[in-house]
Amino acid sequence: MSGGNASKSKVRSSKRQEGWEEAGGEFYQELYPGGEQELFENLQRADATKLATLLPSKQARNTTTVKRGRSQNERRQSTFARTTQSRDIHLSMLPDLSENLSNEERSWEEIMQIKAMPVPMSQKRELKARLQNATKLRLQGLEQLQWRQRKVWHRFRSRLGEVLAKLGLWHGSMRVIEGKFGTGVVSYFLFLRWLLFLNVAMSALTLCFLIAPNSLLYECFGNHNATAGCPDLGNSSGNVVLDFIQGTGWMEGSVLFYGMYSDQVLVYELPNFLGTMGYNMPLAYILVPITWALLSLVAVVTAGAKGFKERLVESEGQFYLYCNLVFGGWDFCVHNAKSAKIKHVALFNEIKGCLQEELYKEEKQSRTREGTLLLHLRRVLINAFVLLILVVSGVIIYLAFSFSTSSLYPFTGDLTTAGPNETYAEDLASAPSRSQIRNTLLGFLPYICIVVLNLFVPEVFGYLIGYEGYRPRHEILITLLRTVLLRLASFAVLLSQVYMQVRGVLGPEFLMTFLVNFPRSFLGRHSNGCLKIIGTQGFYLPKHVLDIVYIQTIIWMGAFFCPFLPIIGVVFYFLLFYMKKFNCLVNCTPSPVVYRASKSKSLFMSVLLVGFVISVAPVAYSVAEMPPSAGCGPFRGYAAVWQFAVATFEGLPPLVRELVFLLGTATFAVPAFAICLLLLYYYWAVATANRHMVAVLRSQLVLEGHDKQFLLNRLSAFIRQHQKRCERRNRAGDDDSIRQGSK
Amino acid sequence: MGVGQSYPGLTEDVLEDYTTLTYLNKGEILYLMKKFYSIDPVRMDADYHHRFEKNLILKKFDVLQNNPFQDRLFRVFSSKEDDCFSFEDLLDLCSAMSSECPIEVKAAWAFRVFDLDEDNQISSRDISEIVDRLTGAARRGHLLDDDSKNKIANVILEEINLVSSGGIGLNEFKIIMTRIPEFHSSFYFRL
Repeated sequence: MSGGNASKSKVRSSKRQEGWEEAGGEFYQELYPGGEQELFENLQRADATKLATLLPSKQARNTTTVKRGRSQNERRQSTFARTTQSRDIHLSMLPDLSENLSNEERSWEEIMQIKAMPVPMSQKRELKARLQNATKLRLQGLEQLQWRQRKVWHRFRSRLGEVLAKLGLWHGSMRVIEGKFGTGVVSYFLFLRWLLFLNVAMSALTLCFLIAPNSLLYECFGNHNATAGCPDLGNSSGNVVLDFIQGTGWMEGSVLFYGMYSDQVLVYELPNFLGTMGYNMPLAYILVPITWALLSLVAVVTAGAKGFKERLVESEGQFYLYCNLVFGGWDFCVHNAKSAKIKHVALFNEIKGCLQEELYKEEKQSRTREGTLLLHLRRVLINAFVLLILVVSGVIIYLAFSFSTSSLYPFTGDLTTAGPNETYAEDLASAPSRSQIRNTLLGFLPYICIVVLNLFVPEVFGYLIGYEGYRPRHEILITLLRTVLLRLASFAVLLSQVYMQVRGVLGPEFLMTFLVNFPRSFLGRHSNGCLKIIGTQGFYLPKHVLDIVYIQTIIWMGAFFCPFLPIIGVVFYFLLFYMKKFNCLVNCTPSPVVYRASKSKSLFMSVLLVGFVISVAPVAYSVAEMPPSAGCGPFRGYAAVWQFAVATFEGLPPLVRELVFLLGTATFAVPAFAICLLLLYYYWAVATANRHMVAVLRSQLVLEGHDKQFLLNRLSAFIRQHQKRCERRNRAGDDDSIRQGSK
Repeated sequence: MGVGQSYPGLTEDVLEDYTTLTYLNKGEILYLMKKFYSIDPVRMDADYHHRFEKNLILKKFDVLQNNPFQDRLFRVFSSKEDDCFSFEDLLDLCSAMSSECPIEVKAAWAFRVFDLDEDNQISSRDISEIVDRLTGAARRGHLLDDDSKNKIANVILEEINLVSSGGIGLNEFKIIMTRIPEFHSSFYFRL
């Protein structure tokens, strides 16, 4: 029985769970009051499985642990154990065994914990009333202050939550979409709403610190012909609408573009202050983009951080797959009859797919060498073909761009001097002449090319992937990757072309890109719909996500040169939401693919982060290296925009300069770098150790399970033996008494 | 309080109680009350704890329609287990389904919903029937054969306990649900 003893002590120690303190230092004790009578009754049924049902882990028992976060020194825990018999729910509440009376704060905390219990509301209210009316100790002095603070903070937070909930945008629309499509598609619309708020923040920054001062304040050196040096002014096409689209004429004179911002310190008079105050416009023009870039970065990273964390926790494998499907498969918010039917079919397909994955794995094993070789050859060929398509698209865009430049401005290759437009500058007819329209179209040609390519090439990719024999999940990922590469390529070509341009003209370029995309996303969805006359299409999530990430990248990139762009972005997103919603609800049917909502947010944030990096890099380069236009803009006269920052920096007091230089010297940088590396290594080591711990605990769990089984078997065997002995004794006793009676 | 309409039985104290005891905020509770009250104002005026029948509730709160676990929801959340909802039952349901509700609490309620035969554990038969309900078997006949369903049940139960007779207990279920990210977003609906 020594083995049994050892396992018994192990069982006891596992019950005490002393060695299993989590990193947070939180441990709990399970109390098992009551039920003794029932235990003895059930022991008569000496069956291992029947005994198993008496185990605590099988009882419908709720244990809640309340963690005291009051101070680092004292961490008192109190545990509630509410036993629930199967039909008859009655509550027995046991306070902490160390104290008989609880103080105010603890009972307040316990009241807050009541909502976590899965019992009906009437019982919750009963419990609350009981807790409130029970005698409790009042807190004194510092503790009371701290507790009051906690209550106030808690109340403030709940009020804030209520106010924010009331201001929630598009709540009703989300509900309708949820009802039809489920939470997977709604995550896309939530992403859109999040981007809208981000752009609102960016617009607020630029509005307050750039646009408003420039329009309202005045220059003290009186040079109102700030635009005299700007080469493009007067290049109007004479028509309001055309001007709006192209960004020429009256648009150029507005605050939309970089060229219009003053390069001097603006002054303003405040009524109560003596003298005039200055507002350094160029400094603002540098600091504001840096601010919103940092703001966007922080927002994206914090929003995606939670999802990244979940990714690191390994929860793959058959078990989690099936659990996800069985317990998390049905979206409880879907209530549309047709959607419900489609959801049933989708779940059926997914389950069948999972069951077949195992078959696929077996098939992969059994694939002959020849077959594998052929498959790989096919994949290589198709990848080469895809690369060819990408290169060809890049060439097409380059050709379109050079064609448009050469035909619009045939005399010089430079967009700064106007060509044929000048002859029509005097033509002030209200209707645009044919040549003017032609010029506009030519100007838009490269962008239209990009749009058309982005429409058709992904379809080709989708067609090709069918021949590559990947798993369905991988198919989607690879197609997505290729589409991203296509967009990057087209954008890179575009940028390299615009690279030569003068700063003042860059703003309009971005506006045009932006405006072209506006009808594109509208057209794109509907042209697809027109192509498939019969039937509707599914809401293909990755494409839509790429759309808005693309738009956001353009906004980030262009917002330095065109401070109005975030505001346009806000309006655009607002309208886009309704367009997409309309498209989704009217044109699309719920997709037969089950979308995982949980992984969506982190995926969207990662793609957005990539877009952010791509957008910031060229802007940073142009700020650092490229000479700004000599005649207009806040940085005229400097060799590079960054020169201005350096010059301002020179003007700061010497102490600050010393400090900053210190940060740059080796004595600071090298130890800082070393410390960062150490921290990185430390976190990586902790992560590895935790992973290892998970594996160890898992195997320990398996052992415990074996022990439990063993003990149950022994117990049932023992009880049976005991019963037999008792029966024999009873029979012997009867015989005895019969014999005695008969004597 | 600027509500516009006060409901008999829903005093400030009671509202405060509800806010403390559920994961809903005041606005949501009042919104629910408005909808609930409009089912039959006369009856509600007479008895605050009046229990409305399933059909009336379904007509008003369409989010519960077409749900394969509808009967289970009505059974679990109805405090008298009579397939009817009083206002407080509805609050329990919406609180459990709200996005503020943490996973453990959702798991505790979900355990009772998924325990179809109500034997305090989710057994292999329960899982088979859940899969049937998910694939819409009720309408189109059994789509997945018994073999597949047993296979799924076995995979799930084997990971949890070694004796395949028996099932998932409440605590085990809670622990699994914290590892499944999908659960929180699927066991949810918006009011």
